[in-house]
Amino acid sequence: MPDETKVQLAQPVRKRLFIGGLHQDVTADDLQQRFGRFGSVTSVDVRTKRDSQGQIVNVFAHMDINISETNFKKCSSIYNDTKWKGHTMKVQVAKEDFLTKLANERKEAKENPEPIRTKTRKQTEQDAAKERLEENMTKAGVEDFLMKKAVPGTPIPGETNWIVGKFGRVLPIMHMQRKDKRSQMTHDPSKYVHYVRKFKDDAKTDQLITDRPVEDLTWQLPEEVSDIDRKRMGVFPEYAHKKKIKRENQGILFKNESSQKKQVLLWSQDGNQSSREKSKSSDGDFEIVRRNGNIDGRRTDLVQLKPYRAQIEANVKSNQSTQVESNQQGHRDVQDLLEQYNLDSDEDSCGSADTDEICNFAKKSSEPEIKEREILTNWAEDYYSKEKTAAMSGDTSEFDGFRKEESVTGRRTQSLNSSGVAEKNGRIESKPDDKTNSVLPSNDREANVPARGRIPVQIADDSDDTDSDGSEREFEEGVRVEENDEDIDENGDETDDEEYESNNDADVNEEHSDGDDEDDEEDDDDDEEDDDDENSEEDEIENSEAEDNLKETTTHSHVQYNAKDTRNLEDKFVSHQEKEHTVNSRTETTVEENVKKENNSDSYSSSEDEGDASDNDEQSSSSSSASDSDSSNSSDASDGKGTPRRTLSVDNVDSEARKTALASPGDQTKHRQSNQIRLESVKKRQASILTQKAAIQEALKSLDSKKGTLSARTHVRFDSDDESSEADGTPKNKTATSKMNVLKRPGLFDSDEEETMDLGAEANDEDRFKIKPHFQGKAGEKLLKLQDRIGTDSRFKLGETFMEDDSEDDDVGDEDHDLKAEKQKSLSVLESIVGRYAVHSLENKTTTNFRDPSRVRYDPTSKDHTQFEIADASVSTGTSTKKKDKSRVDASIPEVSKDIFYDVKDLEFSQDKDENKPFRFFAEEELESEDEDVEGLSTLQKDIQASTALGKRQLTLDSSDSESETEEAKHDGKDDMDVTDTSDTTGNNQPTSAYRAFFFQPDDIRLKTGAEQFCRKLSLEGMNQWFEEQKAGLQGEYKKRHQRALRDSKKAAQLSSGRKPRR
Amino acid sequence: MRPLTEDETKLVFEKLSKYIGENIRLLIDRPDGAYCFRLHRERIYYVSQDIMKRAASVSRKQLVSMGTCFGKLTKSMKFHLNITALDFLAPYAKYKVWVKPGSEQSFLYGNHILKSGLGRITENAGRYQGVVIYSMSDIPLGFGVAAKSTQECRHADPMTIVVFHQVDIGQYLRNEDTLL
Repeated sequence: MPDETKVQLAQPVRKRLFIGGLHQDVTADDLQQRFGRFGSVTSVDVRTKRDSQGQIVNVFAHMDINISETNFKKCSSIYNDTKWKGHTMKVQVAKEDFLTKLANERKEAKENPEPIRTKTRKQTEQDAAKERLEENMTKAGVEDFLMKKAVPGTPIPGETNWIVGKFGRVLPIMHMQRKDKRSQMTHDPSKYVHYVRKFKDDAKTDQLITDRPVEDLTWQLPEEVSDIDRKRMGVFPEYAHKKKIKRENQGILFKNESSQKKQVLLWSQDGNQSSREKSKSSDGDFEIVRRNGNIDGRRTDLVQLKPYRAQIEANVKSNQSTQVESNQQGHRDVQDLLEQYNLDSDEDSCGSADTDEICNFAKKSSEPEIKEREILTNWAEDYYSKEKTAAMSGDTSEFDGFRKEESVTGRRTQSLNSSGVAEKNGRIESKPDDKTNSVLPSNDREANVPARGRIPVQIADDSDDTDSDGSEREFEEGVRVEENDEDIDENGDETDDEEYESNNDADVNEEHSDGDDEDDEEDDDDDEEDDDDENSEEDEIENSEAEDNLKETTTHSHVQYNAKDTRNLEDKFVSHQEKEHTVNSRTETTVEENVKKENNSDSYSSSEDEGDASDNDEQSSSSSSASDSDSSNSSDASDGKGTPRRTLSVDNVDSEARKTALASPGDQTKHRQSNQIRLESVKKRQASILTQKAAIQEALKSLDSKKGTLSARTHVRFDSDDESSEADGTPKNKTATSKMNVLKRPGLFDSDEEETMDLGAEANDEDRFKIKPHFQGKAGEKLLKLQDRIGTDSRFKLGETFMEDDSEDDDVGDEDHDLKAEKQKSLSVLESIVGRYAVHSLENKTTTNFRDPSRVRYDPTSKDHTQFEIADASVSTGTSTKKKDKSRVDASIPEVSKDIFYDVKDLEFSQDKDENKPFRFFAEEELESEDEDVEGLSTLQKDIQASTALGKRQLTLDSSDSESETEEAKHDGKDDMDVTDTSDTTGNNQPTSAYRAFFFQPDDIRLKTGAEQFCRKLSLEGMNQWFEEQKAGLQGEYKKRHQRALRDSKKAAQLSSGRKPRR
Repeated sequence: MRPLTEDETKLVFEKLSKYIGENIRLLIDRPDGAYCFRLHRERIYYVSQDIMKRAASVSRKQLVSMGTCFGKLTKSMKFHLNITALDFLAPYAKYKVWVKPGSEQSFLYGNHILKSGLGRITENAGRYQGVVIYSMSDIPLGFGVAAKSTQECRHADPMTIVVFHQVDIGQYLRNEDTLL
């Protein structure tokens, strides 16, 4: 690396240097010489800069030089800031020459033509719009239409008070006048409509959005909910009620059945139970070998019998023989045997069917026989499928079982019709007439009744309810036989392929559900094979047969309460297979039709299976659990569980009921009850089938998306499923699963919501095509016109410039960021100044040490702030002592003053009365109270004033003696007195009149003397005498003064007159 | 109002560091909020962030002052500390000088501090070190530059100048009109 850098440094590079501060005499050659030794100078350009006067301001040069980095450094260090010819020279790298730069640019542009921009769709759209606009303009005759940059708020040309808003909306400017009409307000909408907020993709909002579950974002309107909706939502109003009934039904099979559903469920349960029974058998309990052997014997009989038409007869015989055997068996085994018998009777029914067929075959043409065969096989397969698809929905299994049973009954009836029936079954033999009655499909009840009638006869041998149940089944089936047959035929032809597919599905389900059972597995395998190979019809038939056998065996095992040995099972299987083979050989001719029918039946079941997969699962789980429990060797437990199942599956008879029936054979009250229940249920069933179909369809609707992952948890089931599962002996599992269902229910709503959303969107679509209210009317027309003209203009598309970020947040963020950066910067500066260590040594201190002096506010109340008080000891002590003194004084004074003040106040008060009143001089009352003195004084004052005025006048005016005399005479002798008085009074009175009064006391001497002063002391004569004496002196005095005055006046007159002539 | 450029920051900090040294950091890196220096009309203001934000809404002409004015940046790019900066210098001052009560007034009238007026002085104060001047009752009165180092002060003549006067709180009265 260093070598490379060295090489790079040594490599001469073309550089342009700026050489400034040159002397004006420096030439290019000089420069070339000087710089030539550092590198090859290619060009030198010396320039002189002159001011306006032509004086040279400075000289500089640009030089192109090939120079290496090191040389350049050397050069700059040598020449930079050095003096050359008295000027300091500067050497710097200059910017590239403009011309070369330009040339380079052009070259580049040529070399790299502009990268082709991939236009976004938006851009292309914009361009297209622009083109269109221009086209329009050219069409309109406008050449060179220049698109001005138009911003929201630009006025529309040719229109006053119209502007373009964002998105090119045309908006009116409003002028509003205030109420007082003084001022006008203009409202420019373009100024208010630009506020577009861009949601930042910050973590907070993201979290807000993402954290919120979808359920929270949606809400439900409190609308009236239809029943269907409610069911969709998983709310089943009668749910709990039904459940209860079901449980009761478990106890008493058909008695309390209120709806067909339950029956259906029961049927489905039959299937389940059968499968379970199978599992049981496979699990292998070891109870009584003997019975197994018994069964085996029977089986072998069957096998032996089966080979051909004689089979059935042989079968019947074997049954009979087993019956006999059972009769012979001990009392302890009676129950089991009876149950066996029931099953046997079922078998018999099958067998009888076979025999019927055979009989028919014998009697009728081959076709009907084939039909019957088909029916038989159908039934068998159906049953098998039922068993297999224990997992399947109750509905499907119901239907399947239904049909199958019907078909069986049909067979029966047929067989009954055929006279050969009597021969086969000892029991049945006795009632051919009754059965013939039951043949009529229209008369359900009648058929039922005869079946009932039959039952006792059958029971005569067995003394069991199971037969009656079987008869029930028969009856029910019988009702429908013909219809079903027809249906099956029709459907079978049409829907082969679909059925196969569905079959596969069903099989898969079954496998999953019944993985435990060996038998089932085997069967499943068979089924799968069937499905895979449509052509392997034989297998199917075998299956059907095997199913029958299995059913029989399982039922047998149940009845016996035996846990079967695996060995036994194997034996059974062997026998089954043998049987199947025989059957196969028999029924080669009817293969195709059978297949079709099977498919048909399967399709029914499978489709329903899909719909109710969860139910199936539940059931399967329960069944598996049951099987597990069975596998546990406790026979009692197996009994407890097995019996209810058995009852449900085989004959719908409760185990208890059966037991009781067993205990008291021939008990007919129960039969009646069950009979009634059955009748009711039959009626209801037919009615409910339709509704159920509808329900299934609905359920299927929502299942499309969930086909792949069929698990019990993902689907909401109908009541029936839960009930059925509960009907099984494993309440815990069931409740758990049902709970799961409840939890998962919301899943169903999604589609509903979507639908509603879609609806909303549709509504919006509708809205879109409505004329908007602001475009209506004449004003609207104008608006529309303007909008058309302007609105499509691409110029008015809102650009990003109008996007406002979350202004405050951003600002804050930016500011924070800036501040931080600034802080960092300043810290770095500080480091450079103070030193890194010093700065960082403070870091720990900052928090503890810091206090903001500018934030400190003096609070005199807080103790901490005493530090801010100036601690001036002397002042404080001085003030304190003073305060103390004051306080002492204050303290003493109040005590003293209390007394003194009181006294003084009294005094003052008393004096006030005397003295203060005179103060208010002009108040009349007080004057009155003031006695004469004051009055006298006031009058005196007046007199004095008057006299002085007179005297002055006398002095000023040269009044004659006589006048003065007369006046004096008027005044009489008073004048003297007055004068004196006035002299006296004025001297005393005027300034201190108020205070003087203060000192008057009652009986004051002065008052007396004062009064004397107002009176004449002399008599008239004496007065005259005194006047005469005074008169001469006064007159002389007067004359003198008068003459003097005259003289003075004369003089003045002379002076004035003398001056006048002069002037 | 604008943040200081690096040069300006350097200027300011160099000046401040004469008085409070590395304690400048305490001003910048405050635990009680973001504070910063701002230049407004050639004056350096030390402002808290929220005040600054508020002040940002005031036009430049109308804005008289904000936060604490630390000093003035002259056109020749020198930084003169203002008396208003005393509040922030006093608590963090590295070198302090206490003035005798008798010469307090003299100092507050703008005179230098003589040796005779020197009450106390921080040890190790070098020559031309920025010092903050306190009254004997620890009231900051202003700041100046030590004319003599602490050692020199000991042997100095009573009438020699110990601290050159730079700024005193008397300026609040004397230069009221030019404070901001």
